Amino acid sequence: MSATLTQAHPSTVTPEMEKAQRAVIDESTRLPVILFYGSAIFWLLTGSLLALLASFKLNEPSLLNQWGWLTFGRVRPAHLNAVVYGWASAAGIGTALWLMARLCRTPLRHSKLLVSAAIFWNIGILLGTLGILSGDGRSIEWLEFPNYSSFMLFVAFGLIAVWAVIMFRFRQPGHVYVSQWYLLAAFLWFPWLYSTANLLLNFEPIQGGAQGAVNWWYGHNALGLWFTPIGLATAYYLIPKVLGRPIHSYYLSILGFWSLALFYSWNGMHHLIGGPFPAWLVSASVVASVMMFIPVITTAINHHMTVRGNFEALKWSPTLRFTVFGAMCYTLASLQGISMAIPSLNKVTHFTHYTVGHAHLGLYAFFTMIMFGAMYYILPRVVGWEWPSARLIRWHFWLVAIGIGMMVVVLTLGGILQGLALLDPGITFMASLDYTKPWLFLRSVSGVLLTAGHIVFAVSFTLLLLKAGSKRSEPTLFGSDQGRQPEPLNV
Amino acid sequence: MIDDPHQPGSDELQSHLEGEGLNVRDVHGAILREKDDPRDGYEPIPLWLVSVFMALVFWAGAYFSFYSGGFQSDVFDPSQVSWAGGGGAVKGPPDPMVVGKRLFTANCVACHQPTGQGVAGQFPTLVDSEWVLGGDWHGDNHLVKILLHGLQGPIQVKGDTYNGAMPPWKQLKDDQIAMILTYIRNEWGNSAPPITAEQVAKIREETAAQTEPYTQNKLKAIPAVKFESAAPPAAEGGAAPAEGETAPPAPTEAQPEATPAAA
Repeated sequence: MSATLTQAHPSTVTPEMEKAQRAVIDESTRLPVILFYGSAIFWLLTGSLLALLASFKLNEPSLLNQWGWLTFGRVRPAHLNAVVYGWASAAGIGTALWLMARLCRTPLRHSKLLVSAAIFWNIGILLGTLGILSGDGRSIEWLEFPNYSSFMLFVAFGLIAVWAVIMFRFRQPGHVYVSQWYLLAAFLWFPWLYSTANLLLNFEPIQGGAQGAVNWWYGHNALGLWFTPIGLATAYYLIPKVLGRPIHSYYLSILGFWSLALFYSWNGMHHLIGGPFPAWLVSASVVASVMMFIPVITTAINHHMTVRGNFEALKWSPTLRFTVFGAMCYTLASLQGISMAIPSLNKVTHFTHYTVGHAHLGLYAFFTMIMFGAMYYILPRVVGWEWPSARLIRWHFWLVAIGIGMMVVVLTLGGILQGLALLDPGITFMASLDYTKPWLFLRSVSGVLLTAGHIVFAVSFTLLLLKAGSKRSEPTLFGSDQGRQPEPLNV
Repeated sequence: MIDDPHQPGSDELQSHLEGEGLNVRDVHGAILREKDDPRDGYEPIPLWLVSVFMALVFWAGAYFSFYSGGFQSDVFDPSQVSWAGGGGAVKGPPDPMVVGKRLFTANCVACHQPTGQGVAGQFPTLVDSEWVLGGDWHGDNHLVKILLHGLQGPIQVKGDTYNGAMPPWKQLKDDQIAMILTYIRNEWGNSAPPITAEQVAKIREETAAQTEPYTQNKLKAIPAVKFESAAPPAAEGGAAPAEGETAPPAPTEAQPEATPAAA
């Protein structure tokens, strides 16, 4: 950017200069953002198909079991890793790149670093997914990718972390907005988590029970210190941006950020309640899990008060509807997670489908929905084209919203029944499985809805990349194709 | 309502964009029409929220003090050792009336019956039996020896004759034998001092050479010993009960304070 735009003191920047800055910044993010988003959507479809297959196998165990590479024990981790790293992480990185450039108020530098990272990342995911299906997977939850794949992911991540630090170093002077704190923290936390866990579990395995502790330290922190900060950073940016209102309270933002950083990293051991671990370790995690009430409620209040009085906008803006849906589910998922860390309740929910429902509430209803919201906002700007069809967006929203809602409800109810049956000494293990059958069937139905929603979204995304339809300059809003007149909303 | 990108923007915008080598016509409408980047509001944190958080912090401290296991690396049950209850006081040893009953049910009821009455002529009764509680020539040492090495041939119990075979139970551990004996000496209306694991261990060592079951005559030749009831130390695996209404007469020495942390 020219000196006029970059070196102006924040107080002398005019609205016109800001527009010009935005145009230059968005232009600079085009290639890496589309690369990460495009591959993310590819892995979302792949992961959905793997998920459907795994889910059908729970309804009909003999389905396609004549091939080793399609057995449940491989399809299920292949699904998990494809959606966690291929979809969610890549979508998060794409969003974070764009947000970093916008929030640093500087064009994206060194985009070759990011393009290389995207290539490494996708080769890693491809090798890893094929590796799991071919039988090379590790029996460590969330880290099933074989070493030759996790190494590639780490290289990709190292590049991105270096890039993030460079970007932050060369940001424009002025206030550092809350989204920026979360992004920078996430970019530094995740490589640390990923490399430590892989080193201690796969490359130089530590001995005995400590493996379980490291496994869940990683598993829970991947959610808490990677997906959560990126999801929250996105919500913190998009909600006030779309509404044109300031975020409610800077003080709540600070409290939320630091309490999250303080408490989340202790949470993992609540997965080990009842396991062979020193009591203090598990109890510390139970305490920290309950203390998560502080960042969760703080953030919920901050977001709610920002939207308050503007809920009307949810009727029109796809970005806002997906994002607010996700932000509300963040509160829900976190409160549910807190309750599950309480030992007396954990006794029922542990080792049941209840936990699976909770995982989807967090990673899908919260994180994935916010990523959809971000894509609806960012992609028209980097592609230079409005979303071609409001109808497709509407179908996408209702398919995935109903799909995930249904999945969480049926897994929760089925999980409670399963848990109570498992605790009842009068019910055999095999009989306890019968309780889950109708719920697992409904889960497969919800999975079909989600997959259909993903296909609709992929079509929508492809049409956007192809610049289908006519060039428009007004946003594609819910209902704008039905002749309804949206409220004035500049999104 | 929306800036139209096909209509050239203000002169200022145009000049800024030209400086970047961009034409305002190529810049997407979304970028031009969008609202300013988010700003911070500065509403204070509500007082009620701070109060709730303070209450949570207090709860966290209390929970930790009850379930920290004394911060010991070898304590696995959060309710077993409490930091609040005096720096790692150990909860009492297992109650022999509970564990003993379980062991008795698993090993002995087939012959001696759940009522302890046995079967006439074959398996002697344990209720109010001089063999169990001590008698003219019957000592506590005999009782332990029978359990360790078995008993065969005709015997007289409470004036009745029985002729069966008691198998040896030396595969059981000292504390298990002690708890079974303590149990049968205090169930069905019986009442006698507990037997400890140490006492069993001592006799096991003394009779290591014994390879076949005793007979009544052989036992009679061994002088009776009545165990000192005050002897049992309260250490691990001991038969001394810590608490509980079903406990036999408590030994006289002090027990460590059991902490009801689980409450």
